[in-house]
Amino acid sequence: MTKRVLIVDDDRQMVRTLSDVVRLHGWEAQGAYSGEEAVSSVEAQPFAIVLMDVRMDGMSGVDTLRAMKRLRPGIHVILMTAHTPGDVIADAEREGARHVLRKPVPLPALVEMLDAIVA
Amino acid sequence: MSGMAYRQLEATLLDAARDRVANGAQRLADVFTGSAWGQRVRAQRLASDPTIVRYLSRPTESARIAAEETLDGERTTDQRVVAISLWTNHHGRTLVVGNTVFADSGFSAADEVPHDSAAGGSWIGPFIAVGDSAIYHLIAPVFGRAGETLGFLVESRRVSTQSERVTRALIGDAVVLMFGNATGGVWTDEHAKRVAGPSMPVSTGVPVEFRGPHGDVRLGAVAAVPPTPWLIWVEIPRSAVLAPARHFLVSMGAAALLIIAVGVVAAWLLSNHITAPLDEITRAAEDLAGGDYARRVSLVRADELGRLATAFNTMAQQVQDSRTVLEERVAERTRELQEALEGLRRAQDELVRRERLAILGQLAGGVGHELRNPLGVMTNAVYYLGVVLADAPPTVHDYLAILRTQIGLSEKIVTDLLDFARVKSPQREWIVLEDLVAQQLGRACIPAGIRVERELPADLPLVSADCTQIGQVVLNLITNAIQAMVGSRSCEEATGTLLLRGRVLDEGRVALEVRDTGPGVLPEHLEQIFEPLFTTKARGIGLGLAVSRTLARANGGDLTVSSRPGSGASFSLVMLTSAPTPA
Repeated sequence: MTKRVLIVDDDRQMVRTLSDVVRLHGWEAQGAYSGEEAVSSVEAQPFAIVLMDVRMDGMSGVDTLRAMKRLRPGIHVILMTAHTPGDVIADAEREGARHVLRKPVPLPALVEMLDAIVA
Repeated sequence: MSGMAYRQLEATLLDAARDRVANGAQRLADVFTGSAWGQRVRAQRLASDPTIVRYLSRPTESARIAAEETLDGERTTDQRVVAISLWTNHHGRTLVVGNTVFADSGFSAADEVPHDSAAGGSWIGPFIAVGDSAIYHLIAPVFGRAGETLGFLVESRRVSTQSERVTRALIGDAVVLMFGNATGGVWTDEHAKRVAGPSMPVSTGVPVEFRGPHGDVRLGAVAAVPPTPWLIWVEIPRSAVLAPARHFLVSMGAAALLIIAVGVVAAWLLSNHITAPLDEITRAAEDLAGGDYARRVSLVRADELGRLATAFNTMAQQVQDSRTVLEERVAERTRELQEALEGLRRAQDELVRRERLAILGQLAGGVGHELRNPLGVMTNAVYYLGVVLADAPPTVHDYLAILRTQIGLSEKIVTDLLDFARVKSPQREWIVLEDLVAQQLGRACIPAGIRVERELPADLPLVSADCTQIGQVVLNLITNAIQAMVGSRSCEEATGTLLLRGRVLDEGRVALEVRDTGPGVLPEHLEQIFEPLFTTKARGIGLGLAVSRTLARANGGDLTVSSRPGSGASFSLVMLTSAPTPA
């Protein structure tokens, strides 16, 4: 599977730095800055993994996850959260989130996680 | 009063005494006048006796014997007669019976020619002094058959001693009675003894007051005794007159003294009996009014005062009881009020604290959340730089390490803030305390100079708690202990001992004691250190222990501290060994 990851966060610098980090480890990264944009991207082209913030303006991470799953049921989504109530995490896991990571994201562990999914 | 009465009595007595001496003298004179007449008649009869007449007519021996018998018979019948003698006109005394001495006392028939023949010619002469006695002569002429005067019969007599009883009856005791001649000279007392006579010139009629030979005042009165040439003198000492008055005065004085004494005793008794008890009750009432509620009256009597004392004591007891009850009630109400006030204050403090915590929680949650993104970006950036600058000089990597450390510290602060903002309900599981401690010690950065001791018995019961939350608390306590022992030194210089000891508190509870050898906690900080935003560190926002206690309590346990400044601090994390019963 192609090592393509879509990184979604309304913080542009977060998107950029995460993209650069995964690229260091041989991943192709594309950024999106909102849920809507992310859904469009997923609709337009295939991604092995989506790394997405939970709390965003407009569509939330969980809503976006649900929409993506409808478009591409096999897609892997990893959610990131600064501090999210347990029920949101439970919702996310029920909707099919692969992992829920707490910010700041532990980077070597993230890369290992991405590699493990596509292996 | 007594003085006035005495004066009146004295005047009355003196008046009576004046009357008495005057009347007495007169009455005695009357008695003696009667007696004198009788004596004269008897003497005249004797002078007419045939033997007497015959002897003086023809003084033969046989006639003399007969006359002598007659005279002797007469003399012995009357003791007052001391001698009887017969006298002739020419030859003087011819015959004497009785005491010659008295008969010799200067009678001269020639000098004593009778003028009064009312009693047949006999008369009574004046008093004549004979030795220490005084006598008088009763003279009766002796007539012949032709009526011629043959001579005189002379009875020498003493003043009657038999009349004393009569005299005293007439004039009373203490009275001095004297007889004398109206022409002066001889005086005799009632026993025919010669006496000096009154110590003042006498005159009949009014009684007189005079001073006696011994200086005493006396009352006296005199009366003539016709047909004799005598005077009767009656005198009485003023002191004798006034004796009844004196007696009266003494009696009055004694009576007055007695009355006064009785009055004093009665007053004393009255005071003792009524006034003193009343006084005691009054004083007791004043004491009671003054606040001495234990005051009682010690008066045991069967009368009204006794009943009053009993009633007073009963009343005092009731007042005391009421007051005690009242004081107890006031004290109880005050205590309740204080407790209520204290409760209110605690509730108010708790309310303020909760409000403060709520605001703080919102702020902490917001800030924490917003800081995590920048920290995440920085983490990514540092990671990237570390990879791409693998060949850079070591200093670059040192600085990247410093950045990682500081980001880590910031992350810790953010975590505390978020934990504080919202405590999740514990997800209980069974925890082996020894494993939990080992896990958290592994996460902590422990300087080499600090020794770690563990006393965790293998038979400690399992703990029922949220592993993450209790782990966070334990890590927090370990971190605090290390920071306390490091203090302002660098980690390399730090020394000390960290003790982690587990023990069973009681059934259902286990305590994990985390003890350090740092400077300890000041007594005034022992409770404050659990308050949010309280910190003694130069860095840190003071949420660690507040969060730890909140988490410990959320898990059914507690977190407390004990410390003596200078000898370290000991935190005790209490945990349950079984799931708590839902309230």
